[in-house]
Amino acid sequence: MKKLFIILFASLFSVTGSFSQNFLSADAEEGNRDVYFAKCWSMGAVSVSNSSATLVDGNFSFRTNQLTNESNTATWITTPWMILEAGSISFKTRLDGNAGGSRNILVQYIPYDPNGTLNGHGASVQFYKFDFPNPISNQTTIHEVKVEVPKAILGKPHKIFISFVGTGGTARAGLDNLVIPGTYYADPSNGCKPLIVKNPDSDGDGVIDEEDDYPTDKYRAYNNYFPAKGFSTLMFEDLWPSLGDYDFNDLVVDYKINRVTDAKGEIVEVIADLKTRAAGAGYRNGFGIEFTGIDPSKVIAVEGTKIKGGTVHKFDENGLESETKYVTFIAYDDVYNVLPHLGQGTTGVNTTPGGPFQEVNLQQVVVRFKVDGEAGKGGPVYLKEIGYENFNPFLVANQKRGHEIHLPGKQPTALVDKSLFGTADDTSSEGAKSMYRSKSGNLPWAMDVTENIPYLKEGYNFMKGYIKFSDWVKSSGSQYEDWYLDISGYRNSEALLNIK
Amino acid sequence: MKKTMKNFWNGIVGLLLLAMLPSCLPESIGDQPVVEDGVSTLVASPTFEWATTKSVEVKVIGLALPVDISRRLTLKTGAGDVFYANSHAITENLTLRFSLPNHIDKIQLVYGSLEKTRDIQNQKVVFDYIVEVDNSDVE
Repeated sequence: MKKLFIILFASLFSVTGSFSQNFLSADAEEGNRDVYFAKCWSMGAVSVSNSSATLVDGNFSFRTNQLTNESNTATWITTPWMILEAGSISFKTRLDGNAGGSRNILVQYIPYDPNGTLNGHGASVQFYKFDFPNPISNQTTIHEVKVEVPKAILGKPHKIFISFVGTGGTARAGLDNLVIPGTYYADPSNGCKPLIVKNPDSDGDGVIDEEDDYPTDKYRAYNNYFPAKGFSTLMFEDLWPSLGDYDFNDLVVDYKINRVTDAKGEIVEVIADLKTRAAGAGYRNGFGIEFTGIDPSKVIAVEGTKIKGGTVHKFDENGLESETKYVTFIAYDDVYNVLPHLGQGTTGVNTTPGGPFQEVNLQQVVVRFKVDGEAGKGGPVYLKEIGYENFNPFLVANQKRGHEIHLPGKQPTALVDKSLFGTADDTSSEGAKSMYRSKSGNLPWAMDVTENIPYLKEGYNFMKGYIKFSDWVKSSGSQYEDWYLDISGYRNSEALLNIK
Repeated sequence: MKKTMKNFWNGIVGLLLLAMLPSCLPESIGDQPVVEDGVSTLVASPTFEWATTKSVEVKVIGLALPVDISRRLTLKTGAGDVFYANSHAITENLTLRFSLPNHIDKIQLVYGSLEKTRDIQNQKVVFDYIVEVDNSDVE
């Protein structure tokens, strides 16, 4: 039974004691030389073949081109970098029976030279030569070759370099069951250089500086954003359970979520960058985010929320909203905390054509899951546990805590007023995908657009601004799935505002 | 007369207040919805998710090696925007699911010196670490 590229850990017991030895082997049974290259083997004019003419063992063997060149770089195999151990290099080989003047196999080593010209290769040294017996014609006998590893190369990074050479004729060689004593010492993810080549890791967290988003902070390693690029735009209608005017500008919030993880993949903090751009309503709406399924005890602290005195919300010591089942923070309980009304005769903020317009500021809310490497009392949260799938933003309408408005299909928090479900124009039935859809037309009260997009001016309905939107909806998403992009014919700029 | 005038001004103020009410005041249950022409005719399938993202499964097939190598694995959109980064052992298989913008059609994997870009097909992408080698040297 042939094994592929494995280290064989063999123990040999004797009356005098015991020892173990590692081996690197190659028997061509991967059936594809690309796999060997991926594992840092290399070969020139040698294929992995099931041709019966050069098959030595199993279903595949290494097969050379016709051997009519005496150069050691014409037809060859090199191993990955290895730390060689004492013992015998062994392989089986044969010819295909065709004619030739001579056929030989050269066994060489290549020392690692960090100043070498090619991949750290030093000058190769031949330490064995196998001669196929003459005449070469009709020579198909399988030969077992064994050669001792030179003592001079033990314990240091080297490659074994096997060259096939010959003169005249057309004979090819097959090679199989190559076994070399030693350990694998190459890094396929670093250009197949020796593992000894280490890059600096200033904070010692196990993530090298060039791959660490926080190279001097041992408690942080990676940024993980959604959306991947820039900000997404959330847009709400605030009259749920009644339908509104469908301009989706009662609250417009851009967001970007960064889950900062450490080297173990545990979330250190979630950073929610929020830009509240418009509030085209007379309501004093609030805005919150739930990470569905995450226990509140896992959060150490919440920072950056904007809550006014006399708020309708209650909060725990860690800053999360109280009495919720899952991690829930209220970014602001009144939109005017972050986007003050300018007066001057406008109904909302930043939705009246011609202005005046309020400046849009970045609000950064940080939910801390680990501080100085220590997780919250509920234990660590892993990257896979928080993502777009359980991102559940919502609007709290007009200072009524139970009036939560979510994206269609999303579940409310534990604090929703359940008596509102199924009333007026709403068709929600608790726990079902029908949540937050209208009775007439299955329309939503909120939309999450994966790009940062302009919103509607007051007095324009959504379809006036986004020309392909209705085609997208009517086709259940099969047409114009990119309706939100700034593509010619997709937008009507007369209906849109882009304050941000 | 004075009382009549006072009632008159009260009425005017009341009308002005009514006129100033925003378009989004709630209606009582049972009222007709205030939906502009166009939107009122829009009917979506009950199963339509209104999503501008799609769920994409990304599989990374590990490379069987006799050493432990672990480093940053980064996934990017075809445009180069990073949406995933974490430490990952080269020998381990990995299956992840992401919500990516509808218009994204390619994903790029970066693992040290290894970089690959694959098309999203049927909401799936499969990566491995196998290098496609030029076979022009082989007869």
